[in-house]
Amino acid sequence: MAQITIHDLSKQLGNQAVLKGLNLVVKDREFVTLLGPSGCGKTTTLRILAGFLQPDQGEVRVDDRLLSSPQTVVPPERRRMGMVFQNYAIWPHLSVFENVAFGLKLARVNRTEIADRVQEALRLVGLSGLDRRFPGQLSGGQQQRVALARSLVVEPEILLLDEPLSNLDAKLRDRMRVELKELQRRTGITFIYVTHDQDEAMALSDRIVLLSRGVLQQVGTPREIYEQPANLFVADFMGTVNMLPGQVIETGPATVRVRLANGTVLTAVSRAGNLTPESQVTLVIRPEAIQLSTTAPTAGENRLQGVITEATFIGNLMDYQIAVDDLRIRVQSDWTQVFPHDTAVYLDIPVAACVAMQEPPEPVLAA
Amino acid sequence: MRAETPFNQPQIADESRRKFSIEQAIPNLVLGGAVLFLLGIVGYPLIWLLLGALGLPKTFTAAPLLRVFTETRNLTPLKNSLILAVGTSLLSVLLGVPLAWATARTDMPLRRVIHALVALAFILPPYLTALAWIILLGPNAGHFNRLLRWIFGFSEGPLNIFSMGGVILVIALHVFAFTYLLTHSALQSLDAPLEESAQVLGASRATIMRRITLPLVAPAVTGGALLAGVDSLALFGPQALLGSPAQISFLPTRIYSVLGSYPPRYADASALSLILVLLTVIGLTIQRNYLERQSFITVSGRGIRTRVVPLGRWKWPLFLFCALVVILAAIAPLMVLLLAAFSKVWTSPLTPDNFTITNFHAALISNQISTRAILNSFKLAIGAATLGTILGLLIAYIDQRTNLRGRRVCDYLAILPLGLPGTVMAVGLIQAFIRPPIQLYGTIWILLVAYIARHIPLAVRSASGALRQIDPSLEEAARITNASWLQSIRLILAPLIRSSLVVAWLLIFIPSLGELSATILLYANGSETISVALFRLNDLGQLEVVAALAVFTITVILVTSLLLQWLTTRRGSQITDQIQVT
Repeated sequence: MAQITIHDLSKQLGNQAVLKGLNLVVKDREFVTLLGPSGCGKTTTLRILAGFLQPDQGEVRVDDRLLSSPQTVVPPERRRMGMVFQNYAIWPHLSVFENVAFGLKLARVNRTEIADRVQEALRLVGLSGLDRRFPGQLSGGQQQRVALARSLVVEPEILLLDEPLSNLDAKLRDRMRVELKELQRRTGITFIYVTHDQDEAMALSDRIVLLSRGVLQQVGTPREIYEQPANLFVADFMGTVNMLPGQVIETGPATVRVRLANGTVLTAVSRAGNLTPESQVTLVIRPEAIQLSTTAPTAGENRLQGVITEATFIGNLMDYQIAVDDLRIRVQSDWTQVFPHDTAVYLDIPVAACVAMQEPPEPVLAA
Repeated sequence: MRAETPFNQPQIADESRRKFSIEQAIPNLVLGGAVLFLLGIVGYPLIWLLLGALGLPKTFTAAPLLRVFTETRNLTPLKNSLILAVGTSLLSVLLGVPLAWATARTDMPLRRVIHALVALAFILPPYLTALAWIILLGPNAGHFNRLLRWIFGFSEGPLNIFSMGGVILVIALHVFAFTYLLTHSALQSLDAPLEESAQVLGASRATIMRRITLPLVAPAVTGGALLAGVDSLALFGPQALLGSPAQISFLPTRIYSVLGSYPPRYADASALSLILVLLTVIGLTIQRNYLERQSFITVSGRGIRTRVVPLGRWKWPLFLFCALVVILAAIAPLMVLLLAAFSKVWTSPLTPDNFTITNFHAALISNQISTRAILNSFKLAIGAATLGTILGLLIAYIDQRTNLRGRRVCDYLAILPLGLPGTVMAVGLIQAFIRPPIQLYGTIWILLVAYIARHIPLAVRSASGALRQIDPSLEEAARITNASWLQSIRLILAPLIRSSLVVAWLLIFIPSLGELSATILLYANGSETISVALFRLNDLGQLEVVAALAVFTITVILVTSLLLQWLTTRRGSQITDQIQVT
């Protein structure tokens, strides 16, 4: 069992508050990603989890063990955690075998068992037969695997990964994603993964923890975060969105009617219950949610008319820039449906895909 | 994966908590101990130097300090010391940088030999080099002068080693090793893609050198030149041997004569010393501010590769230059001493009639002071080098891996002795340890303290340069992989910077074995060292025996260096086998 409980965690580095009151519970065997732009506090959180930093406030527990608080910090070597560093941190003076065997030797595991377990770990990461090599003779991807094997061989309860794929080329990165996911399922280790790449986070995680400027923005499954962003920051960070500013003219039980700058009125769902007429809101619409057609559809509540100014074929879909009066709207559609440049089109926006949000971001969601 | 983990043993909560607190205290105890020790051997004597300059504990007056700036006999040495430092710094760059580039990055022939000879030049105690240069370039009997007169028909001279130029030359031929060694290792750690990326962009070889290579190694060059200049201020031996006969006095020799009066004028000596402390602080501040702006992490977790530049037709001119430098710095002085050591009379050629080994018998076996001195010097040099290297590593670690308050002060304190001539150090040490609570004056321990304190800057510089190149994540990776703090240092950090630590050890051991300027003021009956024995024998006019003892000392140092060199380059799995023993 390794359930991590983070309670009210804060940290100041220099005179900058890099983490402000983080609360989070990570369940046993969960793959959780700390996601956010640089300076959001994700690496600080990871380094507190590892025991390299002492929190100014709050605490970290694993099950019932108190690991970090402003008073005590259990040293890294006693946390039963493993960590994979962004630059791999492979020891250049030790061979692959010695790198991987390091933790076992310190734990006084006997020689034959060390040999067995190192071989098994190397096999697990696909490095069998390279145990006599030195790090200087390995490619970036191979060094990455050594780092993984080195952390896995001691069978930690929790594995911390600090942007482990950011130094790899795109193809290798894709492959390693799949392997990491598999590895996590097979070993049953709780993974805490740090990245600034939302695609990576979506592909890997059971749950995503989105941070900005040291403040938790949203916690949820990739689907929840993508489909129901808690605030504008989350919506914007998780992929491409259209953001249309407007004013509320009418509120209903679950929906609001919003007038855009060009006078068009759209119906939108609202996740904040406190909207009143005249509230300034931003409508958030994913580009792939918008339906395009050249003839006026019979039904449909939210309809705009515009002209395609840019049509780009990007392999699996079509990417359009559409001018609706002064508004620029981005739409992505099936690659089989192609409209040429300058086509006049109707845009249909399902009410469920049109979300009214308010600036500044709504109150932080609890975990 | 299998079920049993190394952590599966049940732990009793209380016991493990107690273990934590002891373990967590270790870094603080070790680092705190290092700081205290440093304060004791450097800070405490420095305080006494300050108090002494004010006439304390007898009186309280600013008169000694005023006398430094009002009396010509104090101002002239100050000016001379400045000229010396600037001259040797510049000369050290002119000599050291081309040599470093040639041996680190080109296909010049005999690179290893040149490299070894620079090390040899550094190994030779500078007062012995000065003695050799008197033999070589003395105004009348000097071998070179006799040669020049024979070729060009001068009636006298033409060159005189007893001059400002002579002092600068002899000292520069010693201290250029600083610039050389630092530049050399910087060039070697320069990853090839840094230069190749410029080449890909169409830069010529000259442009790469000017725009990429030089700026990247510039911190090493200026760092080396600064060390060279500041160190030359402290070299009492050559200044006394070559300057004093020509009435050219420098700050250390001036202090020496002030202390030589009876009773010793500690106040004046302390006041003059403070001026030197000031010069050092200024120099190091400049260097530090300059270094702050550079990024140094060039070694990450990945291996590096360096580029070799083919010299073409420049091969032989460059080689001749390098050869000339090392001949002047090492070979010629050594030959002169060797010849004298095996001669019955040193001024005559070494013919079979003139050949003898009795000088060695006298130096090593029959002379009681000499044999005792050899033993003392060994004990002291080994002790100082070992303790100094550990202390240097810890101080560098505090500066770069922790955010302890006052770590900068600590670093300054560890660098400061570089600007303190042995003479000055001795002035502080005498005043600090002649009285309770710690009375070491008159025992051999004060020499150990002096050697560590004098040479700790070299260890700190060496360790801190190495630490700067090691990404902290390598140690962190060890911590999270079961290693305690001490283990992360012993198993990861220390092996990774092993060559720098060995360099640090050597940089303390070698000068300690022949240390003269502090020793001559601090030794007591029974704690004579080799340098003291050499001076005593020299006073007796036995230059041949002096040469024999010098040759012996140099041989020992050389053998030790080669042994350690061999140990550093031997790589393999022996280190990690030691993990088993932990």
